[in-house]
Amino acid sequence: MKRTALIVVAVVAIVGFGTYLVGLGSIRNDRVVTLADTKCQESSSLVLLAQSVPSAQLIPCLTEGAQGWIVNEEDFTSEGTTVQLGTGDLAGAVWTITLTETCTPDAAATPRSYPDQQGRYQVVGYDTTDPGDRTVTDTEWYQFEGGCTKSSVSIPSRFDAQRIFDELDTGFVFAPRSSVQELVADRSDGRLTLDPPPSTDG
Amino acid sequence: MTDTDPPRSSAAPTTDPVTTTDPATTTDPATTTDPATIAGGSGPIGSSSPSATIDAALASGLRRRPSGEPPALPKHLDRSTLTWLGVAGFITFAWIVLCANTSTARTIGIAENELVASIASHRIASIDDLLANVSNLLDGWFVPIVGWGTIVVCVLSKRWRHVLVLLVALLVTTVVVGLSSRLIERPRPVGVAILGRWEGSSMPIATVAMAASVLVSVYCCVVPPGRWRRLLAIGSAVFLALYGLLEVVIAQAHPTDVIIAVTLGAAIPLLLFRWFTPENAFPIGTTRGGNSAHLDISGERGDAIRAAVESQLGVVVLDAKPIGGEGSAGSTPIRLTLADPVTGAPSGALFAKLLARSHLRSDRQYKLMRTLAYGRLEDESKFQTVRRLVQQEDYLGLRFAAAGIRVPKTYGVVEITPEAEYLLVTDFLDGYGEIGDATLDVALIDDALGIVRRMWDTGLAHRDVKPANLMTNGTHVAVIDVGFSQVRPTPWRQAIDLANMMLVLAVRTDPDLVYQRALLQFSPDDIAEGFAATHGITVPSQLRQKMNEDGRDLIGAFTALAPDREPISIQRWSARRIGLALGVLVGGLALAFLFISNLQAIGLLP
Repeated sequence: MKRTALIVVAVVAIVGFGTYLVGLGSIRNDRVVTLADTKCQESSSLVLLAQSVPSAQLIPCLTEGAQGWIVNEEDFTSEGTTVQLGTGDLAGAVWTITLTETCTPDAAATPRSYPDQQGRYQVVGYDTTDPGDRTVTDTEWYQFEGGCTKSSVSIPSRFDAQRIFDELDTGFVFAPRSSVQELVADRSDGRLTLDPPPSTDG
Repeated sequence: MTDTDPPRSSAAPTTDPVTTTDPATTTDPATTTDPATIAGGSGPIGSSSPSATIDAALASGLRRRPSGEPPALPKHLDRSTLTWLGVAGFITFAWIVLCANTSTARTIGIAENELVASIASHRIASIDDLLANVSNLLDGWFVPIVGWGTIVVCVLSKRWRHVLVLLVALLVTTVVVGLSSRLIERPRPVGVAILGRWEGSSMPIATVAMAASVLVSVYCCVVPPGRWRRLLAIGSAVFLALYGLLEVVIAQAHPTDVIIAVTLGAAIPLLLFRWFTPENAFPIGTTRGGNSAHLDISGERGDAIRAAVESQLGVVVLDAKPIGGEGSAGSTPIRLTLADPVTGAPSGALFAKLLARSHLRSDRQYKLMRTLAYGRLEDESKFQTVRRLVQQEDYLGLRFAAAGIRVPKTYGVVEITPEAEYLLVTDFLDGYGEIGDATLDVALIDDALGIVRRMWDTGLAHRDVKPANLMTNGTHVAVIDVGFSQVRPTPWRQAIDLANMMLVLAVRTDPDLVYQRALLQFSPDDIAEGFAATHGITVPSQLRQKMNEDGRDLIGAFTALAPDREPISIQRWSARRIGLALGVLVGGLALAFLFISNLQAIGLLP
């Protein structure tokens, strides 16, 4: 009887935990919504990104333009977030996005502009070619109120790197913090907010 | 299969090859009331020997364990483990039920976020920094300090298995927590200022899970059962509750994040430790001097041993006590004090060797190391089951007795836990002592050398001739621990038995005398062959230690006395040995790399 009970407990625990993970995963309820006039994929990671830099007024976000890229590693911390992506279509390609409160762009970077910029951020960047690794890398720094995002895409030189960089221009956008705030409010029937209420002290 | 075995009574004593082939025993002058029964020797069986009682019981018939009845010591997880796993399963199950419904999950999520916000609103601003610093300190240093402390204690206590299970437990906890965290990707509490440093999503909160994991490791690896362990369990529960509360107060986690973290963090290592290092097989008590081969025979196992011997041999055991020590590395030797069937008073004793899976593993590791160091020098095939190991030893005991070599009479095998633990029961050699402590005269030297002569003549090799395995009562020499023996061994192995026997005798006497006595039973070339084959590994460690203490170059002395002979190489090179060595090296490096590269991930680096 004890052995049977143990087996039942073990099976329930294993199956249950698997179901539990899948079940909780599904309640993340990711969907594509329009945030700040961009098709930004809404997800819990947007909230974690925003939480990792509470001062950041813009939150980096991927759109359908980044289709095919999958997250290999996410590192959310109270000092900022690093997300690393890869794509099966371009073996060896790596895209790293970081969000921090401040950053120091490389001196060689030159100003750039994008359609969604609209004065919300300053962007500088530059391309490099590494003959040793045989990769072409496009690195950009986006500085905005309360935060900075660095995006670095390395593409093996056997691919048409410039075309891929251009495609990714539409795959990477910024959502205003207020949009993420709306997302939190929407998910909690208006009962929760992303950020704490402003302090009334002093 | 055990359930369908014929009753023991069918194996009537008249069929016992020991007693039928050569039923003689010695009469021990030191213990005339309870002489040890020596199979294969000469002399009458003592009237008060347990042998008569057991034979009578077996002849009268014993109750067979019917199908479905549990064995003496059923294999199961202990009650506390089952209780904790049940609680963990219930919490997980309850959480599934609640979260399977999206609206329920959302309601719970919102409610506990509001609870966190409410608690945070009552925070005293002046101690915010203190709370954050305490959290940072715990997050960064608790697991490394407690984890490494536990590892150091285990290493100092030579609990290598516990170290391995601990590292695996931390790794598995990290993987499960990381996977859950990534799948669920629950944000930290929103709408509230989060204090202190944090990393990753909040469900389950990794820092608390790892803290629970190392505390369970301390519980299982460091503190023996008893009052201190109970205090540790209570202390750990209080600590985790406070740690979890702190994480909620500083808004790094929701309450359920903490509950699930503690559940996972505690259940995973507890299950692994209980499964791979069960308390009764790998005790961490400090009372016995720490021979890792020796199992704890108190409590449940002690009761099972008494009950099993009574039901399977028909004698009442008053007491079962561990005996022996350094010389018995591959089993747990036990003295069974018997009760007189009429008066119930102590009457005679039996010797029992408890063989279990831990001994099977030791045998495998020993043979693997030998194969790596010397190649397949001889039979290095490992035993697949405990049953086969104990059957082998029992058979060899009978074989030695049939060959006329003095060995304690075996009463066969007693089942404790099917396929896991068996007792090999023999007569207890009362009045006998280790030959290494005895004064040896010429007659004893001849008797001891006669054992080797008899083994040679009957195609046997003991393979572990050392002082601890040679017992004498001052008149005769008996050999024990024949489980490592071999039938039809290589000539090389037979020669080694002779060399080791001569070394054992020379340690207590003089090599010239031993050589002269050996020439009465062996040729000079036989002796030369023995010492030509003698190398470090061929001398058992206990004998080597005695020789070192003695200080004389006994091997050199015998080599000088015997005719010249080229040394016999004991290195055997083969593709298998090279492949095995490479496999072990690569596997070891991969394992080391896995752990070193994950030290930070599993929390052992701040």
